[in-house]
Amino acid sequence: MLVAQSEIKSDINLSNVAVATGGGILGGLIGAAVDSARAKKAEVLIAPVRTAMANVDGDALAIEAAKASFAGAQWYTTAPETNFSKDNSPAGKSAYLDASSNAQTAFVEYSYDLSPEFDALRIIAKIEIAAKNNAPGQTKPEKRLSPKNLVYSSSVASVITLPEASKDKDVNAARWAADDAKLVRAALSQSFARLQSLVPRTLALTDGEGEALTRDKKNKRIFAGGFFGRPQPAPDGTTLLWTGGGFVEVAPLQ
Amino acid sequence: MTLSSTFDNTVPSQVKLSRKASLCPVRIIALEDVRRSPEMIGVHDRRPIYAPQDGAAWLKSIVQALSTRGIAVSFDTQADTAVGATAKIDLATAWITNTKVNISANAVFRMHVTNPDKTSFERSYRGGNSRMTYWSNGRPVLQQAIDTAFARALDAMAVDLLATCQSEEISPA
Repeated sequence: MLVAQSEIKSDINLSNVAVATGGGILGGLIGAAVDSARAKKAEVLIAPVRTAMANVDGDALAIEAAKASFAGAQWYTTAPETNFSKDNSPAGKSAYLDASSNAQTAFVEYSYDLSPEFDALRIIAKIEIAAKNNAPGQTKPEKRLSPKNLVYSSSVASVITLPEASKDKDVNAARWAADDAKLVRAALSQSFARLQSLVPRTLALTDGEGEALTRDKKNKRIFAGGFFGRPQPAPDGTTLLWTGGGFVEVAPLQ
Repeated sequence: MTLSSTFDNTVPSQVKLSRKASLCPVRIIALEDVRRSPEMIGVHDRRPIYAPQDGAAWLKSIVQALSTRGIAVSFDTQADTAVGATAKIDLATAWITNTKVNISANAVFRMHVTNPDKTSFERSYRGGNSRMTYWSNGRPVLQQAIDTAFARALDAMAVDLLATCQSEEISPA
């Protein structure tokens, strides 16, 4: 169980100045400066949200969601120990594989943030299963964590949108922070609860079923909640996408 | 990387002190790192950032930096403790993360203060620093970022602690 953050994160939309100016060094420098300024502003805007939700234990919510998500997976047998760590680096995960006596280890990593426009809360659950032993011919221990050597990999997201969100991110940020971050608390609960359904659903897919969803070219990809994917049947008001690596659900805050 | 074992108190304080003001005595009676994984300070560029091995000494060096912000800091174990307010301090957050081109460091202390007149209050104090990772010179940029975050949190704490002595002599920047 990995949660490599201590508070809710901010995000930005990257500037396209570098592209618009032809990709030269000057454009790149200007683009980097714009992105840096946006990141600083996002950190300022999210600070009151973080302060208001100081007593929210995001780690505990993630641990609970992970346990519930994996409880129903038939192929998964939990080892006696389920460890928590904030170190999601390849070196950290590799060290865990070395220390573990299990042939395979599932790394479930949760990350949660507010979208660049502060109009949605997003939680992503990244699931990777790695083997303790190196693949034949591999000598670097961290290569066990490279995508091609993973036994299994998927990424599932739940996006909860802010009702009647403004186009002004300052306004949205203030709404998330208001009343002791009431809306963030509700969105976190809703999002983690949704992941408890979405993760087992993703885990239950066979390789063939996942491949069929990915190759279904008649089902045109759409953009929702910051993700591209092929739309799947979903309840009214909710959008469900198959991204190729897992499900993404976009739903309004209840 | 591992952060340096003591806090580098070279980030200028933003607390404005009166030249005539004497140091305000505050006794720290509890100081604790209450983070879930105190060994970790973040992950940057897919590499872990570790807290110093001696977490207690590191934390003490951070809080000791209140002494350059108008506070005469003493710790419970010191016999020659001056009379004044007492404080219990928890380090609740210390984390470095990436925000696209920037690294962002955040630090939060929770402080419970008991005034000499026995009234008390508890507040959280946040410091942050977001900066580009490019063109860094001198100290490692990650170290600078987290030290700046600590410095800003200490500034906020100092303002409230100074108010326990002579509030008319100080003002936030």
